[in-house]
Amino acid sequence: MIKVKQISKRFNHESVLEGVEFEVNRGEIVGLVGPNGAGKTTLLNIIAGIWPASEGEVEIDGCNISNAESIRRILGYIPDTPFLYPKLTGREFLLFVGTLYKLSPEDLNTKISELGKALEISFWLDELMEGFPRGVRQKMVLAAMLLHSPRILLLDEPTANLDPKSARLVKDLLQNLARQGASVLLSTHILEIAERLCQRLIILDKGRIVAAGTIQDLRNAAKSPQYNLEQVFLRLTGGESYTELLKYLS
Amino acid sequence: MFAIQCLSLKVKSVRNRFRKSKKQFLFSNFFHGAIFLLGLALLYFFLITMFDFAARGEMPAFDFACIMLSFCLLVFLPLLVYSGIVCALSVLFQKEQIAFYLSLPVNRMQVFMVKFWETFFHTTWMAFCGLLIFIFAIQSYFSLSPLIYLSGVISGFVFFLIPVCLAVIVVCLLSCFIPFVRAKGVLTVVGLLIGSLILLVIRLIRPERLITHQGKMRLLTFAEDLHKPWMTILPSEWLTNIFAAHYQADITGVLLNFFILFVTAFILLIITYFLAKAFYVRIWSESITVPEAGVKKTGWQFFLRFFPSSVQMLVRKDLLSFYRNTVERGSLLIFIPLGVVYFYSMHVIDVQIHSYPEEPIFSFLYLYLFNFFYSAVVLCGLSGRWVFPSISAEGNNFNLIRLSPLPLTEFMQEKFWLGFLPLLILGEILVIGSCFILGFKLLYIAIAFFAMVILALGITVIGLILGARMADFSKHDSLEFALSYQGFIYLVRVLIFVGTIILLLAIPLVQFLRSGISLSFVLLLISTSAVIISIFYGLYLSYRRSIACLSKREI
Repeated sequence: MIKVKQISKRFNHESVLEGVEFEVNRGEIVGLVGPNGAGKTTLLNIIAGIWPASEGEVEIDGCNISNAESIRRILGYIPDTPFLYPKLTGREFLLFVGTLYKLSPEDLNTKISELGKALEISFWLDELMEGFPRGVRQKMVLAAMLLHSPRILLLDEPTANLDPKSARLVKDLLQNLARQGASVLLSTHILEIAERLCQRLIILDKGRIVAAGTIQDLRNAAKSPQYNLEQVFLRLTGGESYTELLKYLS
Repeated sequence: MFAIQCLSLKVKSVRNRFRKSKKQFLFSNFFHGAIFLLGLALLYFFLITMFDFAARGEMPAFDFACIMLSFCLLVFLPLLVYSGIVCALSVLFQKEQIAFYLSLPVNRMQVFMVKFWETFFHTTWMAFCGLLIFIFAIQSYFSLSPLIYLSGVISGFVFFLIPVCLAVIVVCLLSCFIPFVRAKGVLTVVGLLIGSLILLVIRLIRPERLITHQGKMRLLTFAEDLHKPWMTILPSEWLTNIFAAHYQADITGVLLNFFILFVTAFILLIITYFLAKAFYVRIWSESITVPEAGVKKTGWQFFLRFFPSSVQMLVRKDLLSFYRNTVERGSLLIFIPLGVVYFYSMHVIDVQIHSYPEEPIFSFLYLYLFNFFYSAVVLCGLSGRWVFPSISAEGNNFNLIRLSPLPLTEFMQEKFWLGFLPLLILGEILVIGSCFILGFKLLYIAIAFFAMVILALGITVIGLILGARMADFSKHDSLEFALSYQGFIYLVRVLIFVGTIILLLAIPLVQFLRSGISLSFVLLLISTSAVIISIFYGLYLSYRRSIACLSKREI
């Protein structure tokens, strides 16, 4: 379970996040949506423990993220820019990540071949990563994240660069993991994914939560019960002016 | 118009860099600029001294100046072609920028021409500054008409077009057969090797002998003999002839030589243009799709045994990345000529020191401590190239390590062992090898061994402390980070450390050489050891703080 308590973040006195507070329960998939620069990546970096928060704290399974190394064993994170070593092969990279999490070589080899098949990256396992297409890179990072079977998943645009079939695969995978009790927090720009995959959504704008809850809750917050998610999103983030722009452009 | 727009983009990017970090930008540019101007001033005074010397000898000073210029240009011509090739491979094929330019509604050859002039500027600006200094020297020394600046600059510009055109022609032809990514790596390594061999040859001819009068006379004779009849067909000779004709007020000679130079450059420019028209876009598009060389089986795993088991996977990752990087791996070849230069220098010093009748203690001390200092400086250079940037070289992937349960202390331990062991082995080889060459007794060799352990340890730890504190994860190329402002700060600090340790070692050593094992020697030994231990304790505390600092870094 992830508990985010009154998180604020400032870079050079400029506020990027302000009093962000929410929870992600066990077995739940929560989507983080918001316009560019809303603070989604910053928030995920803080929850993952990569960046310290200026104020507030993050608890994972009751432990504070800043002082619990054991949390890292149950945490999996996919950043917006994949972590890859270009001069390693896919297999060497996965072996390296697995060893960081102290997995036994036997387990590791079995998991690598299983994940290779499941994510359809077996062909690429013995190639240098510098030649990987973007979609394969994304899958490789996903495989690296899943090696140690994390219970807390943080994903920044997990379906970016993936073809529809692979995106579907990732969606099914995440739903399976959630069914097995994992807590999943993902950020996405694709509202269709957010709508289909997530039980709850958090709309972030200019570093603040403007609305949170199920899609019906968001409609109520936008005072527009008939609106679809895109219209709700535009209304809540002040993006309705874009429709005017679109009319002008067309 | 397109070229002006591209140029204005460059200016804006420099301005933005200045705005982002004024202090670093000013310091780094001021420092580099001051060193460069100092170099130019030294070149000017060297030229004037040589003209003076020639004038006092049997050779007319201007003839000597012309022979020297012709020789320098002849040497620079292939160097500029090589430098142009390496530069063209980077500048002509920078992926993101070219993709953007080619997507614009401009003629593709305009994109090529912008990149060609960029290559020209990057390749020749330094040599051009050298030529300007030469013109300045001959104009002021021989009181020539200031018009020589105009004809010199124009002819120099045309002359420098020749090596750059040749370089671009080679790149276009070469990239048709070898993917340019691989060609760049191979050429960089070949260049490094040739550079080291040149260094080796220069060292073996003992340039220090030129300081003497006989040496200078030999140089004059050498320069006189250098001029051969076949040289008249070379562009270096044509440019030299322009200056000579100017000196003799021979306008026809100036025009004739300029015409030959111009026609050659023009023909090469035309060939470059048509080759680029045929190949440029094709080579560029292939450069994006052609993958790197495949994975090779290696026997390097053997080295893993030397490292603690907890950090072996990190070492494995770093060694694999190093081995598969052609430029990094190829850099190891430089150690061969550098090692020869090092031991040869030690041999020369040994010969020279024995030819001066000085007090034996100081002669011995000078040699012994200089040996430490020389090898420590080599280690500082290597540490600045590989240990100091090793943390920054992780780039964004550092977050992968930080997210894992692996403590940062183990990550730093790996960097420490990977830096310390090679530095120690190399340092010991250098210092003990030179001790044998210099004929020191076993006791002094043992002291040298322990001193090198202390020096290698300190150099590595300072490299890691500053590397962690000043880490710049946005710099993907470790060489770029090593050559930055931070790299300079590291070198200054580590040299202060080396100097301090050598001074501390010298104090009890002088006492021992004077009076053997005495009370004052023991007291000095204890006190200097205490100082060294406290320095290392301070380094240890700083090392711990740097780990804490690294864990809080926002990447």
